[in-house]
Amino acid sequence: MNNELRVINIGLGDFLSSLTEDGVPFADVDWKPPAQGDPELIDILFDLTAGFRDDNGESRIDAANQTGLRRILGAQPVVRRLLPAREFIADFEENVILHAGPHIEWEDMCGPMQGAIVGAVLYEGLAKDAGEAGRLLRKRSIVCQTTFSRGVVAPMAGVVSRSMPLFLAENETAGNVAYCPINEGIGHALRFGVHSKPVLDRLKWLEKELAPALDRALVSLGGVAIKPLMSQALLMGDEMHQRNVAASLAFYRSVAVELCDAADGTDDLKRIVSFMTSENEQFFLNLAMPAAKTAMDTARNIPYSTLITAMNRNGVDFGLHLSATGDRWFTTPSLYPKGLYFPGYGEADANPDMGDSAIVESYGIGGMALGAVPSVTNLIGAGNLMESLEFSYDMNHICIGRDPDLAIPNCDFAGTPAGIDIRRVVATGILPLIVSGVAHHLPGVGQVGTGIVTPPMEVMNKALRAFHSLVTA
Amino acid sequence: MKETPRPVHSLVLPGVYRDSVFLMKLSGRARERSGAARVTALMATSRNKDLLRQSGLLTRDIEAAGSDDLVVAIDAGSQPGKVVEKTVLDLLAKPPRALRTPLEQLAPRSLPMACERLEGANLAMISVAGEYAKYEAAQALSAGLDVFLYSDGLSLADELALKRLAAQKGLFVMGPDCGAAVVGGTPLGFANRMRPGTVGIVSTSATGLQEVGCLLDRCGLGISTAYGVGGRDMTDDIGGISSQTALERLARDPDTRFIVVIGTNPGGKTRRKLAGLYAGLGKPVLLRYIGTDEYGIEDAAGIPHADTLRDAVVMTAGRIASVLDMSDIDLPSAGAGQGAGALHGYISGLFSGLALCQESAQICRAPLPGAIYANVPVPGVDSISGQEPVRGHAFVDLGADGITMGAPHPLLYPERKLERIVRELCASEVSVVLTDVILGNAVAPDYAAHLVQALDRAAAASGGASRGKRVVVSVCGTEADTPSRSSQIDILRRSGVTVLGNNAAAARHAAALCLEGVAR
Repeated sequence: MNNELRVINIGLGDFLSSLTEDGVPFADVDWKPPAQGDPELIDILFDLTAGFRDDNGESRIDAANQTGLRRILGAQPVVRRLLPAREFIADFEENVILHAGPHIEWEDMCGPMQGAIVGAVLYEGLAKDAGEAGRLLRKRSIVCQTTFSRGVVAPMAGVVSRSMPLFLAENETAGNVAYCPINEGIGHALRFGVHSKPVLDRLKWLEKELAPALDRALVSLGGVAIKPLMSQALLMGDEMHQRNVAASLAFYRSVAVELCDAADGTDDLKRIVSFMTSENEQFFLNLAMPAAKTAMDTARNIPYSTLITAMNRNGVDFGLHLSATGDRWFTTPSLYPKGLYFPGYGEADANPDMGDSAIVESYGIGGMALGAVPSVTNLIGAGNLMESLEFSYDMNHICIGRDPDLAIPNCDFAGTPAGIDIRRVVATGILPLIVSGVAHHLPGVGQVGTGIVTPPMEVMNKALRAFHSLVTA
Repeated sequence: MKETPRPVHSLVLPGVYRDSVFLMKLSGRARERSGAARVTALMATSRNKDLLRQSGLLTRDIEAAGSDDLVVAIDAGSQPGKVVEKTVLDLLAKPPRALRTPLEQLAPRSLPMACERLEGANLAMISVAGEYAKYEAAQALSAGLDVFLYSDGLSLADELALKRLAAQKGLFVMGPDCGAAVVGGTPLGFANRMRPGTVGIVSTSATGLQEVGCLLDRCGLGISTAYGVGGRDMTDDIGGISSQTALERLARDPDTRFIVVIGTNPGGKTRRKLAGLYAGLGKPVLLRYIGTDEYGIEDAAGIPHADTLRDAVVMTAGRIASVLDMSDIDLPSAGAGQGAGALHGYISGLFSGLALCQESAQICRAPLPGAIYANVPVPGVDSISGQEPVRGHAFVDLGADGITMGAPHPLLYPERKLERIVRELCASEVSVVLTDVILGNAVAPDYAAHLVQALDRAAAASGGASRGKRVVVSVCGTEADTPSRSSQIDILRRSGVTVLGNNAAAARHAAALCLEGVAR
């Protein structure tokens, strides 16, 4: 008897009896109503799944998403230079300060972002103190713009001014580039809203000493390919958002020899080596971010594609980009991260989720690759290692593919989930996981913890509705 | 060693990293799989390049590669170099298929993940509520799966969208509201364990499919494949899209030599379209259209039809084997003289499926005087909701959409059907309860015993009055079902239930009992 049936069951378990008796292979779906049972969204999902077909019955949406996925997986980001922002961005005016996430006016910004902006104004010498900086910002003598508008990604407050050095990452496959400032380290830092003298002094040191030396090293190396470092770091237990220990050292190893020649004397070299190897375990995050952006930007503006191309937050709102809707922001208020707090701080101190850093999750690492990182089990509120693997496994439900070059050893070397399809997010109600630092909600206090957060469900629903209107128009 | 150096192929994958253990394993696997003489995959560090040089595998391309690049040196031996290269690339692109971590214990939470888990999945069985089922069915079709759609409650527009998509992709939607099918020998939904054979079935009704399949089984014949197509498929709204797919598949199926089509209330346009199809299948087709008496279109096309499901089986059997004892399909016949007495009341027909209900109403309509009601469409029979008491013979499909209203089907949870039987037996105007006993996959176990208990409850509630009434049933099932048909018949007969050999015979018997009552 021919019995080539292979069955997926969605619904009554009773019907499985005959399959069991006959040894027919089946997979039983642990089912919940799609889109939390919302009839309008289900109709949209139905239309976006059954409809939009070419003459052969193939889905234009699926085809567009596959195109996007191929580009994302094919990206080969190389970090080539580290120069002041004004060198890359010719029209970066003196009175412009960039911030993370969707656009927000000075008055509406959260405390840490305001603190960071004031810091950047002081850093550029545009005001003599915080009071004057505030006045200039209120008058709009100093203007705030998004990092996104200048091709930059930056973590937390994401504040960038024209003198700050930026890494340039180039996607060798497609030729596109993205920029990111140097990571300042954990704790008291401009990106968490602190603009004390030590913070500003360190920024100056990064600009005057570390950046020129590291740039010379990068130039003499012809750039450092980032994806192979990511691949190694995953094997060593980094997910490259919350944990970058191995990746930072792997990057240092890549430049170490050239840095010896590039640095201005032994003392200078010692400070740089100390900063990169022992003071700042997050160094690599700011390389992973522009690398991820160069990959994700290649998936932008593909007609019919429902892939998420960026997730950025400004500390008040969560912003989302979809491929087919290009640079249109979908925003809703950000959520608060759940996490672990430094001694003396708690949830009441937290600022809502902030920063461009979720570009790494859009790409498939960070919170999307938690299975690679047994050490964050506690951080994400998982009771045990198995539960933390489940978080990672869940991410496959919302992605259309995996990156075989970014293998997760704990998941039997299955690649990191890649290509977040917003249809699947809305249908399953499973949201991308984002790991994030937690800033104090007041300016000047700094980082108070680290934790995990998701986009608000509503921003997903909103973007899906807008996509549907666009394709049905 | 005096080996002639052979040409070395090399692959350079810039910026691709794998650890050395992985690459050693990959090298071995690629060599085995491709039949190459040597395959060595390495990261192109200077140390590794030295190793390659020593073994004569260093090419100019590998020499030029950097330590971030993955390189593969291939001594293809007797194999074409390109084939070996492809083997290596395939192995690199494909992560190991089966998860060997505890993650494989986790149930997939969506259809795409289930498809990843079960490679080569080809059928989705969907039985969640209709408003959700449509999306799951769309996902299944999108993933290239046929769909067995048990769910009902889909709009006509959604059904049409799904079926058009399926047709466009060469796929098949059984349903919506499909209760039974037999594919690859395995019963799906409520279908029975039927003998394998040469008859293919296409049916808009699960119970129609079951009755024909089980009666064929009892003739010693069997079925090749039985497709349910959904209750509305042959309406002109849907236009028989799934029926057409089913017929095309049966026409292609080498095991199918005869085809029985069971349709409930087919639309005129669709009947014309299907009549054209039947003629071109190259296999004999026999029709049983329930709810119609008129076969002008099909007669003109030379397609024969039967007047009952039972007759459809007898006629098909007659074509397969000229000498065949078909008496068994009418057995057992009614026990004589049981519960004799004047039957002045009405028939209350209570069914678990459309075809059996409709056919019973159709059979009883002709001989019985007075009003006849049904909650399924039959010419000459008045329409009721099935919930309200009526003064007349009533035929109610308790599996109908309007009656289940989201509650589980009576075949899965028969309590409501049994309560209804008790109620009817206690009603003074009812003298015959005509009902079905349907066996099959996933059907509530040992239904006959529960029916007998219900009769006892009715007797207690009516002070014994219900014992003077007749309970007439036919048992739709096979000996291979669990429980078997004969075991259920034994239980019923021991309790004084009149058991007929098939649905049509039971309906005729019930009608005859009432006519006797009228004659007295």
